[in-house]
Amino acid sequence: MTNKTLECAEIRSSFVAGRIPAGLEVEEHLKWCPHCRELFENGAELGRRLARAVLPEASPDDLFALVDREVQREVGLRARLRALPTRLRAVILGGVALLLAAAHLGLRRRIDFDQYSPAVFWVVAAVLAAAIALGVWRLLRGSTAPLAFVARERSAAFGLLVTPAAAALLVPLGSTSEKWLSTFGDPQYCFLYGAVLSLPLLGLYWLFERRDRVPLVALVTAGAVAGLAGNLLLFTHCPSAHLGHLLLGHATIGVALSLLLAGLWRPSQRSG
Amino acid sequence: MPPLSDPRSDEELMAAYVAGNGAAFRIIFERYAPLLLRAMLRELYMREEANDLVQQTFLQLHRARADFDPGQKLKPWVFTIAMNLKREYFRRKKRRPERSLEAETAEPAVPALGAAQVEARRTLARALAGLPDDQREVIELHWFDGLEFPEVAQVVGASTSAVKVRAHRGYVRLRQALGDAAPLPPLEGAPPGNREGAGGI
Repeated sequence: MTNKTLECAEIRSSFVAGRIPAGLEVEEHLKWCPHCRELFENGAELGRRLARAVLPEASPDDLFALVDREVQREVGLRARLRALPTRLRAVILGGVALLLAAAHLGLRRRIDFDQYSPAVFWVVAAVLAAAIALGVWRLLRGSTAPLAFVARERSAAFGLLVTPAAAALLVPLGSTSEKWLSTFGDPQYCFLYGAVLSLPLLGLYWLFERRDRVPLVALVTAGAVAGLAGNLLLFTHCPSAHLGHLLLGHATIGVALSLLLAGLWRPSQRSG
Repeated sequence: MPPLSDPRSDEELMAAYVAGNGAAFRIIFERYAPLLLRAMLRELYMREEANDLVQQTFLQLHRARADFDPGQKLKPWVFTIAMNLKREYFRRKKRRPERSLEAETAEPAVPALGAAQVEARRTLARALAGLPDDQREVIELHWFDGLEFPEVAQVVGASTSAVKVRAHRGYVRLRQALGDAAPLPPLEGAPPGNREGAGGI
């Protein structure tokens, strides 16, 4: 017996090699490892069954030539952009969204900005900005994200889609003008303005996307993120505090873009 | 030098590749392609589709190379990419992986399987199909892909202890599900081609 602590992986290896693990080390291991003990019940039936089902390694034959050819094709601007580290891509994509909003705040800010509650303004802006950051991070991790992270993609996409509506409920709280609280206005103009200005984000996302076959839920998330960016810049620009205007003209942008992208999606499509 | 006997670790090879050493990519491919192909064939049963997913895995590895943390192990990182691609494949095809295992009646696209092993795989596949996804995933990654529990934890995004609990619960349910199955004959030896099994306890 050695001083080495036996690992579960060694138990498995022994089964796979065609032996029922035995010896003092194994007995020691089984004393504190309940899951390995299960493998040994009934004459080690489960351990042997699992071991039998292990397939032999498969020869890749001439697959490397195909892989190498694909890798050699990775040239040009898009190849360079999507090979950037995820953190950098996320900062750029999220940064562009925030920059659009900052530009509006500096050059085309809402005309009631001085009368609007600063606390509510920054809370709404922070909610939308945080949702953008979260969405961008989820979107760009792609295939390297742990399985549990990916499994929550649908609920995350749904959350990102409804965030603008939740933020819209807060907007009237900061308005002190009866006029802007009661004017429905022209939500279609806001919708078009926000949607058009958030389109560059979708273009940038396409440049950054590493997957050739983009999952539908990723496209929905991309639409939701672009919609959030559109909502943030509209919030800095449009003085309306009418709930109907906000829900119809602002909060629907992400939903519309997601539907548009989902409509363009094909199960076998490759993005590049 | 033959790729498998290259003295550098997987992580050193990946670091060399990130630094621009193209030859390191070939060695990584030689080491991982057989493992990934086996992982894909286990549920796909179509060589062409499995090849395509392995090809996609290496392409993603190439594109995401700047994200690789040299302080982490390469194996779980590669398997995370591969498992995500496989999961997305089944989502696109709108079917669950277990179905292909259960429905499989013809010779699978894997080499040199005896009748006993095919039958054992079928029985186990049916039992595995009855497990919750999180338990099945852990057992498959550990047993069939040869990942250690800390590596499995990295792939699924949970703690090692949580992964072990899932394995334990999965084993208990598997034993219950296999209770009626005919007992196995005595061990006949290791399946052919399993290098990893050599040198056990």
